[in-house]
Amino acid sequence: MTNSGGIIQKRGFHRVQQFHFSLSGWGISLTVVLFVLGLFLSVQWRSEREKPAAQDSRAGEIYSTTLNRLEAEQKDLKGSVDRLRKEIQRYQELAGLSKETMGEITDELRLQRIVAGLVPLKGPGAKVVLDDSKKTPATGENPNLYIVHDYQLRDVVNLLWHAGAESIAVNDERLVSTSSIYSSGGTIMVNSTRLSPPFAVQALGDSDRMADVVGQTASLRTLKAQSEAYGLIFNIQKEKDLRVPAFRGSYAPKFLNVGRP
Amino acid sequence: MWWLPIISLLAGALIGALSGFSIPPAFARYTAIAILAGMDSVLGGVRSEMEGKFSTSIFLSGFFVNSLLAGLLVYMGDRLGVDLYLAALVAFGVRLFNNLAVIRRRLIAKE
Repeated sequence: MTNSGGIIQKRGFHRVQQFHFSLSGWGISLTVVLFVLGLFLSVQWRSEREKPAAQDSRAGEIYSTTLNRLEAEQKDLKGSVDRLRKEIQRYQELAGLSKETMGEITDELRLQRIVAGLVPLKGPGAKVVLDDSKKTPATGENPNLYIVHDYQLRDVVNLLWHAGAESIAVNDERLVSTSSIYSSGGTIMVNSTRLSPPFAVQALGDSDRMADVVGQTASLRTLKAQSEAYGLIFNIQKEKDLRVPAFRGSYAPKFLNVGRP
Repeated sequence: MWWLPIISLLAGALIGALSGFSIPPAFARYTAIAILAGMDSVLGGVRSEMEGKFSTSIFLSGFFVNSLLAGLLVYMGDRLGVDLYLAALVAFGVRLFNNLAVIRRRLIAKE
């Protein structure tokens, strides 16, 4: 920066090649203005970083109210399915009692209801508990390794069926022939009902055999490794008196017709 | 003394970062445009100094009034349903780059 060297300023004449800085009016005003600009820039910078979260929470609020409403509705409907089903059962039993010949059919019906999952059951069995890790993921680590996923729950359920489970419920959602276990937006859905951890898989059946199969080294290898490395909670426990509730959903087949054997 | 404005800019940024004050999301749009207008004014001031036309009153009034007006205009636009945000964005953006180009040319020509 060289001094402007005494060139007299007039309109139309420019200090073309000189860029002079001194603590004159221009220097002070630039200092003041840049201070204000810097202040605003950094405040805006910070606010902008916080903004997406705020917008998400607004949208999230709408979703969560809708979700809550729908879930309340679902609970309501499940209650009425339950009530109506009991009514049907009562009528069927009345009919069975009134006609001796119906006795056999009623017995068959009772068994089918048990198999279909329409009756709450109790008996010996095994309880598997799956839960998210209590550890916090280190920075840079994949947080997905610390939470329970739908496929892990599916693996456990499949293994329990394989080990001779006769009836299974996950967090009081009874598994029936049409049950699904999948994840939707981070939460696990069983029978289209949202479940949250911890997941308690209750399986009625031969508890020794189930505990044995689950305990084998070859079973659920990745899940066990993950439980060891990241603190994912996974344990199995034999129970003498387990209870599984009845299926609260509905069977309403639209495309099924009885075929001839 | 040429570094004084830069120190001042950094000091302002530091105070802003440490103050814990944050702009409510509803106003972030307006302050963003105000900041853009402010940056345009600063570059305009540097340019006019290089051209020897600098005036303190024009510079200071330009900085504050432009920023305020830009924010207000965008706010008005939002209330009236016209997206003046884009108009301000384009206008200030174009001027900002123009000023930058002039400053760059002059700095290079000086070498």
